[in-house]
Amino acid sequence: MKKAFFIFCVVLTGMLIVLEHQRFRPDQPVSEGCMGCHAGASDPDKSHPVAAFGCFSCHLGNPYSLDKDRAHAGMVLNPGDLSVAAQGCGQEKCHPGIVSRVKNSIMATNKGILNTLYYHWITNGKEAASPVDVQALLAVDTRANLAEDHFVKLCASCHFWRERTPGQGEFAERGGGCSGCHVVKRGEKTTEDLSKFTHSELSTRIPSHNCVRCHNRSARAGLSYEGKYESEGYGTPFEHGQPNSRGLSGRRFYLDLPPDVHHARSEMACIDCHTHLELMGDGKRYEYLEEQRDVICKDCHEPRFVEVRQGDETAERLPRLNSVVPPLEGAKVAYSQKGAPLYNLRQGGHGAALYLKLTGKAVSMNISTEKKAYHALPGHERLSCQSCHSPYVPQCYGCHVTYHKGEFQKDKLLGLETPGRWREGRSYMRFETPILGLANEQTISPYSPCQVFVSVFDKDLSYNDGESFAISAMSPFDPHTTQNASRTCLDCHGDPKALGLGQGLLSATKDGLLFCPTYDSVASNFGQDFAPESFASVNGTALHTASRHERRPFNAKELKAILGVTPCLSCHDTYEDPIYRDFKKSLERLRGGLARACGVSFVYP
Amino acid sequence: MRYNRGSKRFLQQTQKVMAKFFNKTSLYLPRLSLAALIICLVSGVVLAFQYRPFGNVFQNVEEITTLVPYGFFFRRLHYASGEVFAILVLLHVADYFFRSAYKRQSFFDWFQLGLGAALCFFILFTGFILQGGLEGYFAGTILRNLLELIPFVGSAASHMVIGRGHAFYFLPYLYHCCFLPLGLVFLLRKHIRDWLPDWGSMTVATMMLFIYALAVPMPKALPPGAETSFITGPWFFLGVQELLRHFSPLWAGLFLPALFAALFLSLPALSGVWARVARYTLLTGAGVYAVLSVKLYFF
Repeated sequence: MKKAFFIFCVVLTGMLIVLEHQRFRPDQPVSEGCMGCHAGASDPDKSHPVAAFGCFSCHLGNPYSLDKDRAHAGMVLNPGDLSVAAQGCGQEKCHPGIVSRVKNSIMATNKGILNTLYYHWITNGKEAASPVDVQALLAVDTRANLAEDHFVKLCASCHFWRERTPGQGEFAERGGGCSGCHVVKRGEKTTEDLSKFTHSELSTRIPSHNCVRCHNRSARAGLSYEGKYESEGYGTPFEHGQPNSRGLSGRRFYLDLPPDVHHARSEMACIDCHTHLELMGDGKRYEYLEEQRDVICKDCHEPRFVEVRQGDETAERLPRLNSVVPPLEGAKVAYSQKGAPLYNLRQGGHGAALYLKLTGKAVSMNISTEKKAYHALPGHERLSCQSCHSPYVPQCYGCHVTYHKGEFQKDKLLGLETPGRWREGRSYMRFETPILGLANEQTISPYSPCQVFVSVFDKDLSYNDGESFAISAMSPFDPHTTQNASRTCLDCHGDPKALGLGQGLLSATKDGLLFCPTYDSVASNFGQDFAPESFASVNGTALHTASRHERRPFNAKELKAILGVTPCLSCHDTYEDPIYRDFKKSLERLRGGLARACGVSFVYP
Repeated sequence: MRYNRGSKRFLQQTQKVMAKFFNKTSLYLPRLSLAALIICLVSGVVLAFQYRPFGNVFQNVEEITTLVPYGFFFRRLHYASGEVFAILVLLHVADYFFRSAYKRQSFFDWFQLGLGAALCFFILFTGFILQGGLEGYFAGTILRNLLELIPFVGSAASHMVIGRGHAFYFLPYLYHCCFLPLGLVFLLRKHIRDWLPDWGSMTVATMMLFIYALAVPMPKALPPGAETSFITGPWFFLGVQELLRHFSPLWAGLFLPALFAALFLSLPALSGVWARVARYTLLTGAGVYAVLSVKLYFF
């Protein structure tokens, strides 16, 4: 036995020596264990050199070990993921304030979507805010109602809490917290040599592609801005006998239409307008997008250039972080309504210029302080820029949604299949002239329909009449189809669709207005007695709902005022025409016979 | 009738085989556990040359594991032999408990052996703390907080066991490397004399532990500053950890374990119905503890 013991010890000692020599140890001392394997990794960007930062400071893990498994214990692949961002990007010595701002921002909470769903589906217009946001839904594994179930299965792949998944493509690259925006190119690793690792590239110069990953659905703002109209899925014109290459995610195709003038003429990216306060949030939790929104058209087109405010490090730091926009060097900058410095819009010796944040190219801005007649017309005070300068709005009518209780579908927050399957179809999609209405009492805005017909089927496939419902809603937004030339006067004053009545013939009789819609809903058994695009009736009664109480179509008084101008427009077709200086007085003069006779035989009473 | 006789014979044979097995097990358990203890002490001495209980202890432990030549081997050997020693001690104690061997022991001898068994788990616990990772740091902090709860002497007791600030690991280090092993050897001196491992036991223990140390990596540890949603202590304290989730620390962390230990140590002094009550209480307590441990770990 003693002999066996000693033989055994000798054999095992030999094995031990062999194993010891096989163990990896770097040739040179390393600052942290990670550098033993990953010293050759490329830098994420100039501000985050690997030689200075190492890996541990962002990716956590165990920096003291040279063993791969031990070193990777507790490591995070994406330090920008919101679940770990406070220890990654947002740690005290790095970007401490930003992570909490992002977590409260609307792109993380998705409160706007949830509030709107609750408004229309649950509270029937009583405007109760949703009690949950994305983070709250992540923490539970049951859904309280159809609105939440719909959200988690159809909407919840576009938010900052979403974990990035491996691979390429739109769905894989969505979400990821900080990385969702700031990673401009995903890294690659070669399996043969760990040291030749191409790290993901980070940048503050975020290309529009990162935004359009998510903003190509719903309002289609990202698509419209680039002049893409989501077509009906035919993939025509065919290329080499196959559907063409102009494809979008989800087996969709697009056609070309005039892009937004900011894109077409100046090659502006999303970040050239949208400030860090509205993209990352300002720390406050907002209920809706419009509350978080910062920049408006006037910030750039009627800017107030000022000296950089005392102690405003942000204004100095942002161009430095951007690195292609030149430093301020005493130039005056414009500020947004929330106080964010528009550091790329400045007034210097050569006049005003907008510096593109992606390239640093200077775009000359012709800013005139003189108020032009078309921007100062009495009666147009409430018109938003988009009302006149957006000739098209994507409009999607009759979204037919089915819900089968007996089937399963993936809950995108839980990552598991749960009972209930949604399917979404639509009747027809158009890219047409917008409907106008009031976004609030101070603002007229383009509107687009959001019509949902939900059919619920029980497990035995029988139609559940009690739980099925239909929502006919309209929603205002900036369609991002801005053109330099505005719509003409008759485009609004003479188009019943622009007034919210719908497409058809509008006539004025002595008994009042008469509207004959092109689409006869009653005869076609549509299920409602108004056309799908009719926001209001001729007497101003709202026919569609909107998700805020202050949102509405033109009322009878407003319709009367708008249509009162229409007969005059065929002759008085310029903004400078004196009759428009005080139109009410001009009408009184006409009725009183004091004005020169004109060929108009009818004056709207 | 033939069938019944056959079954009875089968049962008797099975009982004989099992009795033989358990008798042999009873013979080898203490020898193997002492063999593991010897290996643990020797490997511990080797590690003590490299270990520093001040500063970044976690970094030091990782350097021993991955940088120091043959450090990985001695660390794995030390870890495995300590665990094996504790598990074999537990089995040995259970074996003697089921055989009611405490009836043949004097109270003083049984007390010393029981205290020794408890001490071996405390050695393991201090070793768990000395890894320097997140789990060890929390384990030491919880121990300190539990000791603070002892009426009148809590503060003094906690200061004698766990240091503060940079000296957090120093006292556990002294206990682990010096006082507790000496105490253990003293308490088990008669046992060691009676059950000193023969070459067979030594060979088997050495062979198994060496192979383990060559083949099985150390469990991964989290750095002390890491964030995690769930953390567990050493396997033998999982039941206490589960109890702490439902009861106050004074009850779950001090009173109930002390009651269990007191009942166990007083077994030789009890007789008649009290002995039976104590025995079944201990059995039930052990069973509940095992269930709680499994529940925490897996669910």
